Amino acid sequence: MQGRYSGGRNPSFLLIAAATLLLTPLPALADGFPQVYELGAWEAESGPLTLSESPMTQAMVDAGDLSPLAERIPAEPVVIVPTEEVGSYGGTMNFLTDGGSGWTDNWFLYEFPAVLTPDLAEIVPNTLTGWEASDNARTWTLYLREGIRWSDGTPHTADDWLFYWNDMALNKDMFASGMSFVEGADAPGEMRRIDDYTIQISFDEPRGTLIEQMTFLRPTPYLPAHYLKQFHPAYTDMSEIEKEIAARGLETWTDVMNQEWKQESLSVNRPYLTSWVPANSYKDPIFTLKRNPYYFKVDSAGNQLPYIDQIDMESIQGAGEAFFLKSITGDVDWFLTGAFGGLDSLPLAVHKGIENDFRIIEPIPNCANSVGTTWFNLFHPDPGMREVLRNKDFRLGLSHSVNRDEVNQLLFKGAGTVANPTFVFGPPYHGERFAQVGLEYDVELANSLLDRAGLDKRDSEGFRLRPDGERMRILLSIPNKWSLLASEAAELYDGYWEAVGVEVQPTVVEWSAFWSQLDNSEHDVAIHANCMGGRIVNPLFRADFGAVSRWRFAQEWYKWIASDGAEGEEPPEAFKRYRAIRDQAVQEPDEAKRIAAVQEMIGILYDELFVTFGTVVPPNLRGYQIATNRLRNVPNPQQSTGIFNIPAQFYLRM
Amino acid sequence: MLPFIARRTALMVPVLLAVSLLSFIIIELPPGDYFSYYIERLYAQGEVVDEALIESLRTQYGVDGPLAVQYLKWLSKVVRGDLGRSLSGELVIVIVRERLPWSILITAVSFVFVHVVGIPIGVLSATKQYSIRDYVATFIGFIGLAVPNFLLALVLVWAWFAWTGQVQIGLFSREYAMEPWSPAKIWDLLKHLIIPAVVIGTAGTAGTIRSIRANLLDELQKTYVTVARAKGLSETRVLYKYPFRIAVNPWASTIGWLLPSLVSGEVLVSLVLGFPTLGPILLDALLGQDLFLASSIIMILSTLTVIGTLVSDIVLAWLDPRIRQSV
Repeated sequence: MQGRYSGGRNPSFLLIAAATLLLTPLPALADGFPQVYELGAWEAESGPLTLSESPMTQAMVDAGDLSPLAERIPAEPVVIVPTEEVGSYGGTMNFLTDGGSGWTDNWFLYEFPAVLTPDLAEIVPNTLTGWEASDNARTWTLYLREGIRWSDGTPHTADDWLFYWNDMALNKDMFASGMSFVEGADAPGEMRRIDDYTIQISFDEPRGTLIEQMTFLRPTPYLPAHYLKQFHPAYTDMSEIEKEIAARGLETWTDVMNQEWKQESLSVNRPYLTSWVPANSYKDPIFTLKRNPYYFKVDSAGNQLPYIDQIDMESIQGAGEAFFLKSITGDVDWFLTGAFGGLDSLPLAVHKGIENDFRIIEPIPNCANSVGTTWFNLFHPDPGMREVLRNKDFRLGLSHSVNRDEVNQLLFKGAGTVANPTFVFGPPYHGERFAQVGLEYDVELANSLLDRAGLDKRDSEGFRLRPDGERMRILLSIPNKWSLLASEAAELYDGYWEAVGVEVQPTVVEWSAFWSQLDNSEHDVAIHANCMGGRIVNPLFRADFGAVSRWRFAQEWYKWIASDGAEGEEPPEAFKRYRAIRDQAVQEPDEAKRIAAVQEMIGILYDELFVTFGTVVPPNLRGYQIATNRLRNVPNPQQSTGIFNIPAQFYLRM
Repeated sequence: MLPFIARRTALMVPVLLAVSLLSFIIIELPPGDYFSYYIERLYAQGEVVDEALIESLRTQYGVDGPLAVQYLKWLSKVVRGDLGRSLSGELVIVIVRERLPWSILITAVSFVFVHVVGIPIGVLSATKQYSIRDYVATFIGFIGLAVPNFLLALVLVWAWFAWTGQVQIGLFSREYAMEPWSPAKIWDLLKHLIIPAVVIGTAGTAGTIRSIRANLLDELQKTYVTVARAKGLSETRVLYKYPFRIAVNPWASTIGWLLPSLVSGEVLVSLVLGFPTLGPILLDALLGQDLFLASSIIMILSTLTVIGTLVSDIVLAWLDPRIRQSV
């Protein structure tokens, strides 16, 4: 390490430059993402496929312990074209987790009825083969993929859906407050079995987004009914269930069911449809996932997926820096640095990558969070303060006083993107085209806007006075965790806003007190990141954008709408329009119209209301991933969250 | 002696009751509850949350009633030995049973380190007062005390990594984690215990060194020591027959706090080094307002502390006849 940092030049700049070079897609890695086909479509293009399986399962078939491949998978399996090349079977992938179920959850545990393709271009059937909407999207007919079996060999049929709908979602013991997915306008939707592989769902209002919701809804709307029935009083004698309750030391049947029904329970006895299934408890020091011999997907050469036999997840409880350190030794095949990485650690990771034979993967985030997203309290208890905070010119003025290029330089060495909080960039919502309001650094304009907002008088120390004569002072609240550089942003805002005469006092608030303040509209201005969504989670369903359940921009307006005028304060006409567009869009069957509606909503949000602004969207590399060079078929750039059909085609080049 | 023990045991009950009530109240003081914490965490990770689902969980777990009712229900279960359930679904007793042995192991190893290193250095400091050896030993002890545990742990992990390319965190290496016990596995465990032993140990040695040193110095000034020397006893005998035993006295009175330090002593180090011990669990439970888990662990700790103090008093009475008589 000696002599490394001699000279005045910032060394990490050079390494970031090196990292950027390393990440420039080389031809071999520029294949993008895996592609997904239905068998018929693939064979029409490339001729018939001969199916084959891994040596591991072949040995079991030969020994008579497993049925042959043709009997285990559907007649029409899903075909996945791998990212780089057709892989080879075998090996154990080493993974690192913090002891919770979160990592597994996001990447390995879900086979949704329909999924986004790995490049997010479209929604394709997954455990379903197709669907039809009728009656203006009030009624949906879903066609299950015939031949899919659970990991214990039992066929997956319409019963699995009916069990979810009728015996779980509508069961008041399990969900006293109901489950919003199955709710309609006045009554829950009805699910009917047409035959073993066809079901029909009818709502009393249009549900244009049903399929889209199923691409991210967790847990999935189908369950291993044959397994879970033993814990359900409608199918099993209570006396039998009582034994189970006693054996587990629990109290009610719902307790037992809660330990088993969700995928994220990681219950070992529960069957799954995924490429790997848990082989032991996730609380063990090494949590192992083993190949599922019934997985219903094959690659473009007909090999049953997955390639990798086993995943070993080493569990290190909650260690932060040490966790990251372990990932750069080259022992961990795939690591999502997430909160443990950050740009500061990137030079070290690049350096160690050369030494320990791994590479950096750039993730594509699923949120365009903007550092320093401001939440103005439009319902401030102090009338003088409220008058100012409500003034759009005031907010615009503050926004124009921020030098975002400087923020970008200070926080991300210029690698971020100057933007307000918006949708993920790129198709289909094109967040980069919206929320462009108030971004210019123009102190003159800022001052004139603040003057126009009634803050033209100043006191003896140069701070502006409010119309009611009090000094304009903002208490800037920051939560003490999960805040995306909020303290840094607050410090920077402090400088910029005081330069235009507004006194700022940043204050860190313990997280629960922070949310309580926001819920009760007790804050002045708060800073916290929010996620408006994108392709992966439709903005209409993001609580920070469409769902409005946590619209901390305007808590009282939300209460007014939720209580039909009984509570809260009547919103301005623009917000009512915003909400009306959203309500209509959720039902809209035509996707193009839905997207247009969402873009109209963000237009209202920024051009008319301007209730929030941010500074810089962090560069993608901030949450970089690590992959050893023996792990292949990893897309680069890679998705940053639960997009499926990616891990199944990883393979280990040995 | 016996009435003393009986009286102290009887006093334990009101003390524990007061502690349980206080901890319950304090844990629930911050606004919000475990489920709002859970929801916020999911949002922070970019998830879409069905809040109705979580609302149902609130009802199921019985955290939607008045605090007094929850407290009494919990208390009635605890006295019957049922420590209840964490709001994440796990049984408290299972969580504690899985982690307590490791907490005990790490604390025991550190304890041994502190005393194997601290006591001899303390004696050395006293007998060779103001010599180079005294200064060096005291200096090392104070470095260990002054440097924060977690910082020292991180530095040691990094140093090991820079030197060997291995990251020595957790209790076992990947190869041994799931294997049955064997000499090789024990050796692996011992290697992983070096860093925590040094980190926690060095913090404790300073206190031990200075305390032994000070007490011994006091004793060595006394007349009976001079007389013993004059009568021709060897220096070692002079040292260990009386002065040493008296110097150890104040230290013995703090043994009682060993039991609760099983958990709290290693929290930061466990967090940094990723050990599956009880400390980080308690920390998470408190931060997340996991009411029953946190309260139950605190009850366990308080019980251990009270018992520990009693044991320590008994040990002291046994050690020192003067105290035995006054009791």
